[in-house]
Amino acid sequence: MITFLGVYKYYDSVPVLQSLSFKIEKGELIFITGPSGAGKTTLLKLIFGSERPDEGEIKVGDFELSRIRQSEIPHLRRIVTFVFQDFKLRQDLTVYDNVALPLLVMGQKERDIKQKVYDTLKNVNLRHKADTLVRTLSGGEQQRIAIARAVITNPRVILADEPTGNLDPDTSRDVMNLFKSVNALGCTVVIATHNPELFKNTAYRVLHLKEGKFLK
Amino acid sequence: MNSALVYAIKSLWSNKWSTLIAMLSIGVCFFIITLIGIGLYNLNIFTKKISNKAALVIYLKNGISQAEIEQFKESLEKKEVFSKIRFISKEDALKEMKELIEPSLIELIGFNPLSDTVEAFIKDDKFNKLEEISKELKNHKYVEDIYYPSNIIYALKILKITIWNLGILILSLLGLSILFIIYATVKNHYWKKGEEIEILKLLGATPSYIRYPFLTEGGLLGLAGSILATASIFLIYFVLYSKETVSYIPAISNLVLPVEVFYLLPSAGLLLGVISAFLALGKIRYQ
Ligand SMILES: Nc1ncnc2c1ncn2[C@@H]1O[C@H](COP(=O)(O)OP(=O)(O)O)[C@@H](O)[C@H]1O
Ligand SMILES: [Mg+2]
Repeated sequence: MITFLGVYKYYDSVPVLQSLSFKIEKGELIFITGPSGAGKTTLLKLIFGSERPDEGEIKVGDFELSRIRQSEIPHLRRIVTFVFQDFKLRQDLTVYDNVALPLLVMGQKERDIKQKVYDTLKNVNLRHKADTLVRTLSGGEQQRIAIARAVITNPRVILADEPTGNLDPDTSRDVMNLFKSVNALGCTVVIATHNPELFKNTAYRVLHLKEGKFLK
Repeated sequence: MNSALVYAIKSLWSNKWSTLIAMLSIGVCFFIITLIGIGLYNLNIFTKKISNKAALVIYLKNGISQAEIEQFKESLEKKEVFSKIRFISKEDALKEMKELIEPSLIELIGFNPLSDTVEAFIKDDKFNKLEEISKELKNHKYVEDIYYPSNIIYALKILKITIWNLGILILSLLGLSILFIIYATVKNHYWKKGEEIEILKLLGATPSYIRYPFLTEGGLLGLAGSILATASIFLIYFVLYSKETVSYIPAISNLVLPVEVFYLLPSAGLLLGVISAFLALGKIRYQ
C-alpha cells in the first residue's frame, strides 16, 4: 500500500528524514515511534502529500508522491485521510456538520448522508452530541470526532498523529480500539506516537525513528 | 451548486457592510458606464445623420452628353473615397424645386436655370481628403463648380472620434474599477475563511469545489451592482421620456435608449463578477 525508497527530507537544508526505505502492507496497522523531533509527523505529511520528498520515491496506492501534481492531491485524499494532532475541526460547526463535511466535499447530497453520519457517530459513542458545537467539547471527544471524520469515507489508509496525545489512559484505550476496529475492516492504519504504552504487549509492527533514521 | 449559492449569500450577509459598499460602488460604475455608452451610441446616430448631409455637390457644365456623365461617375467611383454617388439631372432638380417654390414663378424665367449635378457622399474614413478631392475635381473639364460642406462637419467628425476614444478609455477604467472592487471584496472574504479553506483542502476538496461559492459571490456582487444601475437607468428613462419633460425640452425625444441595455448590463455584471472572483482566488494550492 505504501512504499518508501531512499527518501530524504530537508528543512532549510537540515535533514529531517534520511534514507528511509520501507513498505506498509495493505490492511496493516503500524506504529511509527520515536522521541519528539524524530520526524514522525513529517513522515505522515509525506504520505498525505502535504510535503514532498527531496530525494527518493514514495508510492501510496497508485500515486507517485514524488511526482504528484497539485490537481491529483484531492484524489489522493479520497483514499488517504489524516487524524491531525490538533484535530483541525471546524470549531464553529456542530459535531454532525464536521463529520458530514468529507462526504459533502465528495459531492454526496445532504439527504443521502444523514444515516451514515449518525452510524459513524454511534461508533465513536458521540451520537448524543450530534447537535453540539465542537468548541464546547473535551479533548477526548474532539479526538473521537476527528477519527469519525477520518473514517466516514471508508478510506484505504488512515494516518493518525499522536492520537492519544493528551488523553487519560481510559480514553486512550477507547481511541486505540477505534483504530483497531477500522483496521479489522481492512483499512491500513499508520499511527505516529511517542508513547510506547500504545504498542506495548501488542503484535503490531513498530518502526522506531531517531533523528530521521530508523533504529534497527 | 445550490448549496454554493446559499453559502455565497451567507458569506455576503456576514460581511454586509463591505458587501453593501462594494455593491453601491459597482452600481455607480455601471451607471456611469451605461450613461457614457448611451451617449456614445447617440453620438453615432447623430453623426451618421449629419454625414448623410455631407455630400460634395458637383455642378456639371451645360451640354454634356449622357455617355460623358456616365464616364464621369465611373471616374469618381474609381477614387474609392465615396460611399454613394447620385446623379441628378437638371430636369429632376427643377421638379424638386417646383415642389418648394410656386411653379408659375419658375415658369416666368422661361428656361431651366439649374444644371446637372452629381452628389457624392464621402466615406467616413476619407474625410480628411475632402479638401484635396474637391480641388482636384474643380479642375475637371466637365465640372462647372463644386460645393462642399463646411469645415464644421469635418470638425464634428474629429470631435466624434476624440469623444469616442475618450469614452472608451473611461469605460475601460470603470470596467477595471469594477473588476478591482469585486477582486478585493472576494479576496478579503476568501482570506477571512483561511482556516475553513485549509480544512476543506485537507479533506480532499477539489479546486472547483473550493472556488464555487466564491465565484457565485463575485457573480452576485456584479449582478447586484449592474441591476442597481439598470434600475436607475430605467427610472431616468421614464422621467426623461415623460410628456412633461419632452414638452419642456423637445430635443429629448431624439435620444435613443437601446433596449439591449436591460439584459446586456446584468449579463456583463454577472460575467465580470465571476471573472474577477476567479482572478482573486488564483491557483488553489494544496499543502
Ligand atoms: N515546517 C518546518 N520547517 C522547519 N523545520 C521543521 C518543520 N516541520 C518540522 N520541522 C523540524 O523537523 C524535525 C522533525 O519534526 P517532526 O516531524 O514534527 O517530528 P516529530 O513529529 O517526530 O516530533 C524537527 O526538528 C522539527 O523542528
Ligand atoms: Mg509530531
